[in-house]
Amino acid sequence: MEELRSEIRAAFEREQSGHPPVAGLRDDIVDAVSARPRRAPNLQWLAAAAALILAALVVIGLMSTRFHPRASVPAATPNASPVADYGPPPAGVPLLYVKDPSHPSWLIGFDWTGKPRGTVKLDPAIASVGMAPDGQSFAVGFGAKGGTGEILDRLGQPIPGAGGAIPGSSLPIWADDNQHTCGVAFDSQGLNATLVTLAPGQAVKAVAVLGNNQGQPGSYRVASCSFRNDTALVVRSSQWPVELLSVGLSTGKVTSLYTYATPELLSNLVASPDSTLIAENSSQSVGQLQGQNAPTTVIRRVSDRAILVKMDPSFGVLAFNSDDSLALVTTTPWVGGAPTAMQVWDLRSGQPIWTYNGPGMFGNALAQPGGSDFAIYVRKPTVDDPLTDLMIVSANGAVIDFPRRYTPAW
Amino acid sequence: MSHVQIESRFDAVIGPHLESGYRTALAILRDPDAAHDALQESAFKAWRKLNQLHEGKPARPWFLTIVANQCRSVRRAHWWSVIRMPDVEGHATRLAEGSAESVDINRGLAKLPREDRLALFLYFYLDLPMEEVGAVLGLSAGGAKTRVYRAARKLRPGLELD
Repeated sequence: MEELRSEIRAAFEREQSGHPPVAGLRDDIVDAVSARPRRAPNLQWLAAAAALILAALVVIGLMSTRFHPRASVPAATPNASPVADYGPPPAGVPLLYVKDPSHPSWLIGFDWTGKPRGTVKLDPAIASVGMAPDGQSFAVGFGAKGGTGEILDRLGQPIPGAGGAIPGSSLPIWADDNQHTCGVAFDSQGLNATLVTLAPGQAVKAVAVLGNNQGQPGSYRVASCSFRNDTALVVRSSQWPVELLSVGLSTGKVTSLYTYATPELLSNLVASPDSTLIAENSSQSVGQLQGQNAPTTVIRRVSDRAILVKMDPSFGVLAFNSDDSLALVTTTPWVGGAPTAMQVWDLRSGQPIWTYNGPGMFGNALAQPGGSDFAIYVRKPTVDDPLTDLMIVSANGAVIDFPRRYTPAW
Repeated sequence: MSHVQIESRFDAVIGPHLESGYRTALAILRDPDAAHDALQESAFKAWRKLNQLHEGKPARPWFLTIVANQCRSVRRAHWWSVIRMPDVEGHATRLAEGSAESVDINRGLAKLPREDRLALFLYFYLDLPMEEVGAVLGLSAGGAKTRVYRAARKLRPGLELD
């Protein structure tokens, strides 16, 4: 226990040493708190009256729209002025959203050629937002107890309906239909983990009970959720990935369960968006250089576990594109907690079509819905900077660099 | 009590624990800016509730409980922001100079459920006694001990309790 205590302490020490408290923290906080104005008097009655008036106005507004033809969305005309309001985003065009540096509550939508196509003006009270992979809807969180959330349409307006959130869920992901989100709800009483899905305006749907954390230590997470193939891949991990489950989304049945005999050899599993491929990344890909590594990183077909691609164990798959023709791969063991050297591989030819050797650290990647491209952003190493460098890597290896740095909404 | 008196009491009672509060927020949120914001909000809440902290009641677990609750609230507010596309590990591990053991510990800690990680942080890093760990986690001292032990067992499956 004492040995473990020192190891844990050292690990936290390493983590904390990267971001020590600012000098004068105590004085700054005490000054800020004591200078903050007192809370306003209770005006709940006024808020209730305002809410009633607003509700009446909304009802009147909704009724009036039924008697007039709905205005069509104007064509996007990118405006070159410094105030980037590109108008309402076009319907049906997959967009990549970034936060407008000049207006924190505005999102700028770029198409996959890198052109700005629309601006969504969100309620400034929205603290966080995540776009659907096609940019046609947004998920926002309001911080209510239990993790309520809301789906907004492509114009940033709430979608009416039951709404809801996945209770006790961690790491929900968007499904490949760009409509549903999928997660694992955890029942803290019965300790059951349940695969659930959520569609805009609908209640949470329980798909399948995955297991009981009391009998099976570890946690479940959804690795991929494909409504097109009616399959979700769920990984149970303890310290390492232990099990891979395929679950039918319409039936709720576990169609396959694979248990890893030597999970300690792997760092993690990465699934393709359509739930047909699974990458088993060797521990060496994340920097574990001594012993206990899988000799190769492999990409398997989930249906029969056939190995489709073998890679050097120092390589690790970060993401697949939408048609499973490309994989984004880290090519050297991680440094500083994130990959810095990456390649996009053509899985059919086994050849890299794009290489990145820093200096940025990998932030995230998004597969183009219905296409083959990747959008990737990298962060500046060693500094905490919300702005990132974005690029679109096409299936032919061509790269589109965004002209300025943005904070992505994905 | 005048504003100056409140400020003086706040500085004396809560001031010494602000750094621990920041470190706790950083351990939970893993984002220094978010941790600082959470600390400031927690401090403001503590200021407003200072009259609820009675004489003799330990201030550290009381304040760290406010910090932990604020961080949980922040994480819930960002519930959707964690929606991700590829399955990428977090940024908590620093692997360049680590031995295989430290790499394992880093990875293990990164994968622990948040409350388990917080329990280990409070007990092993901040050296809080079990009673205070339990207060922050909303558990009894016995419950906190069980939580810490179970979390440690997840890092070292064969671990025996001392």
